[in-house]
Amino acid sequence: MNNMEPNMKQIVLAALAAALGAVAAPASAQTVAGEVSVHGFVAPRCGATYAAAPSFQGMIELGELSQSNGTLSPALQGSSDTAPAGVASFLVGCTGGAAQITLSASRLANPVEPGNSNSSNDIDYTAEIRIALAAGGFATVDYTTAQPLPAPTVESIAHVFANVAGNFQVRVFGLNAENGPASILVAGDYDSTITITVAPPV
Amino acid sequence: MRMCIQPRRHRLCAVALAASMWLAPAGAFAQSAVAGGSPSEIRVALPVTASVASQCGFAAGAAPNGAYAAPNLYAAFNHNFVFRLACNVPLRVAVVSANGGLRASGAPPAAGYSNLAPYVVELNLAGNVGVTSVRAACAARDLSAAAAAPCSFRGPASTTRGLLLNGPSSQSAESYLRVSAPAYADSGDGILVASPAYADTLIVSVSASL
Repeated sequence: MNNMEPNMKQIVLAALAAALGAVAAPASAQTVAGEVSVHGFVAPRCGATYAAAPSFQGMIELGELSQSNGTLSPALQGSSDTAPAGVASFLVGCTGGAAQITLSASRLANPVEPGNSNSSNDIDYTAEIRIALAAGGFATVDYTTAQPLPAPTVESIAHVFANVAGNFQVRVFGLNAENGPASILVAGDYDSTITITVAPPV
Repeated sequence: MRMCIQPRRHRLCAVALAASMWLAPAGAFAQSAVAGGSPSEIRVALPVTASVASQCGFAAGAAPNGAYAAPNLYAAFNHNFVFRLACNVPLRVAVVSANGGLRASGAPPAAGYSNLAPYVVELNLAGNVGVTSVRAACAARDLSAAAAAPCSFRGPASTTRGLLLNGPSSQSAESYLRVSAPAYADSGDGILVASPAYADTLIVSVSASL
């Protein structure tokens, strides 16, 4: 048997190798891949509030318009863009720059006719939109009522609006009674409507 | 199987003995055959075994490929990319998002605006009869290579990474990858900037699982 020992070692090794080979081959770590792409777009659009509501509305309450002698309050007459008579704020957003703003307003009017030229039932004023910009600073759009009403103010705002609450501030200032500051205001309710349209670039 | 070992065939005898060392219980090793003696033969059981290598990939012509053009991202969308697997072992499928969402190229948007629209990627894997289908969904942002909190099936697939289908899936079982999103709401990440080209690419990979 001694002369067989070297062969035995070889055979044992061969058997070991065969035994290993008999074990099921492990799953290889092969990996294959596919590729899909997804595309979409965002159209230029503008909306109010984060929910992109198509409209917004609010109210500016000016209170009592006359002073004790019945004429228009000097504080209202002397109001300015930096010290407005009334303010309302909104959030308006657009998906891009160059939004077009259209602004108009009706006169502040009392339906009761004055009956003479020393009284007034119509008050003109300036409406202004002060827009906060994403890049910093502000843009303004103004419209002043008159008889007859001028055409709406239309302006394109090159920069995107700041996406912050109150980025649209509507201001009312510079009130003037139709028949002059010495005219007596006709008692009653005075109403006006400011109309703002914000549209993406065409 | 039956083998008779003759004394003059020392070499074969040695082969049988050696094989028995590995393939038979230790107690059987002490036996030897003697011509005309007892025992005069040795019975050796030689197990015959074989294996089939694992195969795992997508079925030919049925890999997840293609493109989907979503509508305006301010509207909801939903689309399935159907594919079929060809794996004879348990497998894992994983996905990598190139952009982590639908991204519009260009300069970074101003504060309060975003050029990255989120969406959801859902994997639905179907296996052979008896194999339980599996489903998982993640935000695309968690499938990007740089995701801070990676999705459980962010790729690339490996033996340990990816959604596990715990059984084989032949070429007939239909799996799919779904991309979807609700109508975008500006309240989260800001207003999406207008762009005609929001896009993302998903790499879907499959690997055998151990």
